[in-house]
Amino acid sequence: MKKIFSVAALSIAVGVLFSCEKINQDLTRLPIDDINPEAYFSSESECQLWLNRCYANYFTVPVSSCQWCSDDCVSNNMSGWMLGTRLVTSGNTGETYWGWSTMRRINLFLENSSHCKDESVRLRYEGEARFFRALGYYLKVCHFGDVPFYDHVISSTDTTALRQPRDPRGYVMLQIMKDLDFAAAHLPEKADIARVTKWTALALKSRAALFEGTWRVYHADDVFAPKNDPSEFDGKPVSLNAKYFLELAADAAEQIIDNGPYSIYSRGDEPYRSLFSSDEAIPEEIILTKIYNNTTSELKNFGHSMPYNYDQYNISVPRRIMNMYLCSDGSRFTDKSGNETMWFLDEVANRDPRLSETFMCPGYKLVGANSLTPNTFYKTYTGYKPIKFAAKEENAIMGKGVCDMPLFRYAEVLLNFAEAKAELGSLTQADLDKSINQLRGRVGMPKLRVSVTLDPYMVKCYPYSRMTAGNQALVLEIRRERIVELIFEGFHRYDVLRWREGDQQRNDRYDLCGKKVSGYYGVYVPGPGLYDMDGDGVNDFEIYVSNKTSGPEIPASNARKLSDLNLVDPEDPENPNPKKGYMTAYRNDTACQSWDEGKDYLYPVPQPQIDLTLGALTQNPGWELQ
Amino acid sequence: MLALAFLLPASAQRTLTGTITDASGEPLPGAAIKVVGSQAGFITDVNGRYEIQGVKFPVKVVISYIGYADTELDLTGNEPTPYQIILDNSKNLLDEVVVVGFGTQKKSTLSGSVGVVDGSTLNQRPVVSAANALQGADPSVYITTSNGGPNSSASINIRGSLSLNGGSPLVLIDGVEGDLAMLNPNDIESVSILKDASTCAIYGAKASAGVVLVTTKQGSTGKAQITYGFRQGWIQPTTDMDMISTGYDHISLINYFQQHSFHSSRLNEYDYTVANGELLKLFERRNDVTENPDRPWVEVGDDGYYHYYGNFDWFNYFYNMNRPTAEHNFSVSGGNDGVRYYVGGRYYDETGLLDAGLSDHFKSYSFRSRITAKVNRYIRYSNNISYAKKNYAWQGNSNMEATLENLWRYGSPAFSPYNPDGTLVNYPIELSNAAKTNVMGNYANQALSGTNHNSRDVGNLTITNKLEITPFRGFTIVGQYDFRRIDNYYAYRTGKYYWSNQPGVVHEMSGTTDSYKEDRNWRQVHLGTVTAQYENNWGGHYMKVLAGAQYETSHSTNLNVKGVPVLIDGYDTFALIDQSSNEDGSPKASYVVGNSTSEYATLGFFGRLNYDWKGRYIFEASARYDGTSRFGEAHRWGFFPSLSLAWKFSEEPFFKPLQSVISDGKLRFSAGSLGNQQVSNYYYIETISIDNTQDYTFDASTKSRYASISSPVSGSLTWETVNTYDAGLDLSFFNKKLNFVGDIYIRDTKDMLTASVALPEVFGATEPKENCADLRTRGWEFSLSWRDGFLLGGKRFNYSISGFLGDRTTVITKYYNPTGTLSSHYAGKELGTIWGFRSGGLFASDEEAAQYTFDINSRQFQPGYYYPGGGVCVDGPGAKAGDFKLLDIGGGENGEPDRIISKGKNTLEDHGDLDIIGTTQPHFNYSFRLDFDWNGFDFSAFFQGIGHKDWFPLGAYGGYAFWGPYSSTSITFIHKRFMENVWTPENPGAYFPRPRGYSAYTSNDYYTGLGVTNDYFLQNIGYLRLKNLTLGYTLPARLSEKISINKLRFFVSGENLWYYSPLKKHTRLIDPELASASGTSTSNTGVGYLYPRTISVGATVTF
Repeated sequence: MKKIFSVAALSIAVGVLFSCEKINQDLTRLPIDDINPEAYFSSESECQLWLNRCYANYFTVPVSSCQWCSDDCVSNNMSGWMLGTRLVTSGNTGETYWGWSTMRRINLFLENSSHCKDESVRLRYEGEARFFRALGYYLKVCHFGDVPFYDHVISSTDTTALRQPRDPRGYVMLQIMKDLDFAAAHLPEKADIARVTKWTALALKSRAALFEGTWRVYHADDVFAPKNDPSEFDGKPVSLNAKYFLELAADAAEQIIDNGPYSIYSRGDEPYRSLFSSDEAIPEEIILTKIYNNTTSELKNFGHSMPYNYDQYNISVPRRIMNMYLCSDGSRFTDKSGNETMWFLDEVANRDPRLSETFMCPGYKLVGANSLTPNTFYKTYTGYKPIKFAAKEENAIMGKGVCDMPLFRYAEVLLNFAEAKAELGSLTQADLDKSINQLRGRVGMPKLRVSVTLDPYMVKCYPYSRMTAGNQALVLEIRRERIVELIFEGFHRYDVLRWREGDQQRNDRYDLCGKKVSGYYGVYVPGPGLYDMDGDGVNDFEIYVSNKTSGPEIPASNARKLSDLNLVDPEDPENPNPKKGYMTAYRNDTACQSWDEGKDYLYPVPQPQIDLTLGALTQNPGWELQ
Repeated sequence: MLALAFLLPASAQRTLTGTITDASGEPLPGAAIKVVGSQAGFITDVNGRYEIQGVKFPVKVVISYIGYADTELDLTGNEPTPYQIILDNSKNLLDEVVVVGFGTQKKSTLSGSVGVVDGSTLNQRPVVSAANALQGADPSVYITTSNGGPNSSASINIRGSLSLNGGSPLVLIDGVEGDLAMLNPNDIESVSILKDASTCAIYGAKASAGVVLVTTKQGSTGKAQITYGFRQGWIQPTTDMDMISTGYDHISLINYFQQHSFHSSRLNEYDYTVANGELLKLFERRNDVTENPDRPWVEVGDDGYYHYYGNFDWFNYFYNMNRPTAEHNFSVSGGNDGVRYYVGGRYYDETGLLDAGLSDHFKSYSFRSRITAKVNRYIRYSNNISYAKKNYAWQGNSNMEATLENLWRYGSPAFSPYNPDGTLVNYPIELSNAAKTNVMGNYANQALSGTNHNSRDVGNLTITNKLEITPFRGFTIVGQYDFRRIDNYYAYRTGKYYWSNQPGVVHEMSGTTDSYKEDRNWRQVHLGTVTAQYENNWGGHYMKVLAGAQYETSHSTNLNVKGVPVLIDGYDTFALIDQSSNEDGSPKASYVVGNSTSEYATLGFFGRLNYDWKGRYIFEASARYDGTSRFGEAHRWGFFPSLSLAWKFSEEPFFKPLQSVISDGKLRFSAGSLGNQQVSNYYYIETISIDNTQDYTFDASTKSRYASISSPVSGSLTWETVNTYDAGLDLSFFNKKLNFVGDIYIRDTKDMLTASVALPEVFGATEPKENCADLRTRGWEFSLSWRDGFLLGGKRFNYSISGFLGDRTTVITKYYNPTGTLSSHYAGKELGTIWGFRSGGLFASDEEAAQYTFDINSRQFQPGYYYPGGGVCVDGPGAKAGDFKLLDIGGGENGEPDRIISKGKNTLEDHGDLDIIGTTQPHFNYSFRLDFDWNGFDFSAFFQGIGHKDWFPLGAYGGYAFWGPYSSTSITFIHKRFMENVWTPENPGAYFPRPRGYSAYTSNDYYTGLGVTNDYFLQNIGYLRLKNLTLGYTLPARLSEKISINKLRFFVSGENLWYYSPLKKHTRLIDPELASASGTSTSNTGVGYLYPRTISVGATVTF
């Protein structure tokens, strides 16, 4: 008995040992409801699901708290780069700054897209991935200049790649152009407001190339001038300069103008306003949009916060920008006598219609409303209260705005085209007619002529524009058009950078009356009194000195105390309690008074990133730690 | 009567006579008494009498009796005759057999560190489950419950924190993993707590945090025993919850705090003013405990809205302050030579805390059977089946704890739950100042509506089949197969509900739907074990060898479905989902379905060798080789060896002279290594999931989905290793009356999975975790017990006192934190360290306060003092006498004060005015118990506590119980004596500062730094608790047998009857064990399911 059991025990033990290897494999448990990356990317829906994330990561809320704004928009929440509070020690690692997770996602797709055996599907989504890689790098170049370029997924142990130095911006821009050419070649031609197409790729190409081209024009002789441009790219010799990129910009834009399915929307009474106040994006002009909607149960809280944020952040526009709107006859407002101290109602009368379609002026009605809404200078610094993206009353609540937000629209393409041509010095009247004058035509403004004369006011606003010879008058007119047409769409801050006009946005530079003052000026208030702000012939607004004097016909919410308007009297700028003067933002504040021409055009590379790469990454000019 | 023959020389021989009784004096018939070194002996008669003739003194006799360990006595011959021998009821501890991994071991030759808890101390405790009963049972074990509710979960740790990644002890119930919270405490025979590597190594990877081995009762041969126990109890809170219940007092206090706060825009949080006469109305009704018809509590105002002027006692309306609980226990056990059996069952019922006719309710059922059959000479088969189920049902929001928390917000005794027309009160005009806030976050309405109810069921089934083969003496092969199934079943029904704030107008609560949701998850575990053991002794040598293998697979699945709309209120089924169509033909019904599945498998080979020589030199070695599916193939296996040695010096010949004082003495030492596989099932591979939605839409109708990949992983991911070193000393004095067990230990956790290095951002993902952090725990613990008895009034009086004390400190010895930031761990950090500000207490005068804010800038943490214009604060801006002061202790050159209160860079190098002010780790856990029995009475008192543990009450949302109106002024419940602790010019010595609303609420612009971690408001939540007090009386057998009852015992038992804690000085409302509980809606607030105090009466009867 003993023996039998011993033998049995021994054979069990031996059996166990021999089956070890098999058992080791048997211990493997692979995920059941998740997917192995080896098998992914084989179908169109898998590719699409993967790249969907790029939209959400790069197309963040375009209009939120005006954090992206420049001197075209002052608020109580000015961005760090306007306040001079950017820090080298931390931050700026969001996806559109020094964040790289979307880049990893894109490169991971491109490394594995061969799993997709349907070539047309594969090429289309490779196109989409490369569009986003180009967009990501474009934003990185905008913010940081030189950045390391990666076309592959980095392993956690690949110290060479992890500590790769920054590539020259010229090289990165060429990569961007290459990606966009690939994208334009393989993305669908059919217009689609929700997903990127060939036309989106070309529009981005014109945007990025114009940025680089004008950067090279205006930063040619400062510390931000591009260095170490490659002499060869993709096996071919290249010679990079401003012209190289401006031609690419003009060419990409012209392809859309000549072959694309887009036109300038001009139906209805207020075509410009309705482009931004309609629930659904207008596909004739909108190339790509961010859709907002709250009609279905799943999208119940799927809105943006415009125009709620206009109130929340006191968002308003300084007089300097308002002055750029021409009069409706094409003449310049700043040429009018007495324009400096003109009362609001006179100031906004007979101007480019886009003024009253962008700001709350007499006659303003909410979409679908029967009654007029007067501008009572509620929650505004300057009195110029934006209404772009404002629709119905119900949309004026936080998160309830549902007008789709344009990400790319045809008007920008036309402006890119005209500006590139103007900077190249080759802008013809025919070019103007098919670009700028399309925009002017929509709002019934007279055409812009190549023979336009130099506007001294615009020169004062953009002194660096002198640097290009000969075509300064046209360049400035196109800038005016760009500011007026694209205001609040997120372009101006990047324009200020590439035009090298950062110093002009300081709030202590505005001396419209020849005196050194500080603050962003707004509406000129002639003094206390009763006013008709909605233009219906009945007074509906009171400015009082100490107590409201009007009866119940003007509710308290429509009355403002003079001292709350924070006036600065141009004739007596030191007077803290003037009876008349400009409404002013940041009058006694040091905010927005710093701009370092040798530093502020680029963001600092986050110092921890420099430390982590053992100094392989270098710092941008002016941001080096002392 | 049977006398054995004896053959001895006749010289100096006498006859030894007397009785053998148990401790209560009952005679023990059939006990054997034997003279050592001879054949002489005797078996006692029915009266416990014995008689041995011809005994040659001095002599050593051995008494053996079933159920008792052998007792040796040295007799000189001078003892009184007849000589009464009393067998100690409490077994002779050092000769106990201890359950260890895959077997048992004599305690006398144990070389590792094992804590043993006798089941009888757990059996009749009036508690929900074994998890509650085990609290304080051993110095190494620290048990906390997630809140005070019957459905709370328990977290257990042995000897402190194992790893930054967590790690809880392996709980084995009869060898199979189980849940203490599902275990009937009455089924427990004994519990072994395996603390060091030498005892745990046999369990390998799962045992690195220690092992709790529960052995359940089994039948013994003899007459069948039927036991039935019944208990009825009443549960009250441990704390004094005497809240202000008069509208006038509540509103006055709230608004006083509001008016003296820097909180900007409003003077009155609740809109009652003197000017408008509302306060007067409240005052007139101040003494109306019930509504006086002349002065109604709800009036309709000129504005057409209801106005509320009541004295409604919301606390006692919502909280059941004396809730019943009942328990029934039943067991049958017995057996013969062939078959032994034990069958036990329990029903436990507890009425929950929420009253107002919508009580939450907890029930649990458990059943266990244990049957062992001797198949033949060689083979034994046993089969265990246990099933336990608990059910918890509650009304209102699906989150019960959130309901309890929200009852604290925006309520007032001035309001009533119902309007005169029976509609639910909400959005009263009196809250319009507070931005038209809803009463109690709508949670009260939701609960009272009756349309929202929920239940949660958990079921645990375990089946064990065990075959033991003993081919020859000393050799045993055991094959065991266990199956477990754990089911969790949640059902949530939500319905619409309605409210009103003006007569005739009823509003549907927005956002409510008629939906039904079921969430089911189940897990199945198969466990196969084979062991072989050989045991032998020869010539003073003893040896035991064990080898075995164990294979486990686990599969879990979750499936949840939510459907809308349900047609009829009160029905919880998908069958009543509206299946009709909308006008456009689309279905009205919609469903959301979720599903997930996951698996793991482990395989281990293990072995153990025990050897001792004459019970004097003891050696044990064990090892386990473990593989897990949670790591990649190349890093799957871990080897975990251990070794222990003991020297029982009291067995040495030279020790003989000392034995009259030190009866037993043993030195122990052990060292070993264990693994910890605390990662999720598929952590080592990157997987793509496509079940994600993002806030982006492509089609204007649905949120877009996207695919995502899990974080990159390190290719070399493998086990964390836990090395333990333990040294122990066991001593017994005075014939084992006094016992001491002490241990010191070091536990090193190596290669914890943490982020290895910070990679540059261009990597584009979270850094893969690697095995790269270490921590070390050092600790000590000891227990001391004294047991004895004497005759009192002719009856034996037995008593025992025992206690223990233990402490440990855990330090992180390696951690990647190059910047030394305090927001992360760092090498050298003691786990639980609290960094905070030092405080100078309260300003004695306005001048001192003004000087302080002139000298020192504390704006960042006390913005209230710098608030421009002071809002509408009636005191005006700035700090005043009675306000709270932070100390400027550093931040400048060479750590000098820099006149700014700051955290510096919040790093080790530059931490501004921060200092280490305390620790969240519990220190000095202790317990002691006192037992006695006499003449049928038994008494036990069990105290348990923690010497020190720091807690900083959360100064933000949810911190209502500690801070009262200092957090938010809109709170419902304020203790009647709250103001006694509040500084006023008349009460300058008070603990709390000048009354200012929101001054502790850290996330606003008005606070004055009360809620920023500081040493002044840091609370010591150490405590001493009378955990249990029991008094029982057992009817004398001669009486009970008349009614055919073997044993009948009545008892009164109290759980958590009394406690002391330093926390009591500063708040009456928070039990120290609830303060830092994790299972409250907002943790660290003490606002949650109230900690229970239970008083019970009951009886146990055995047939």
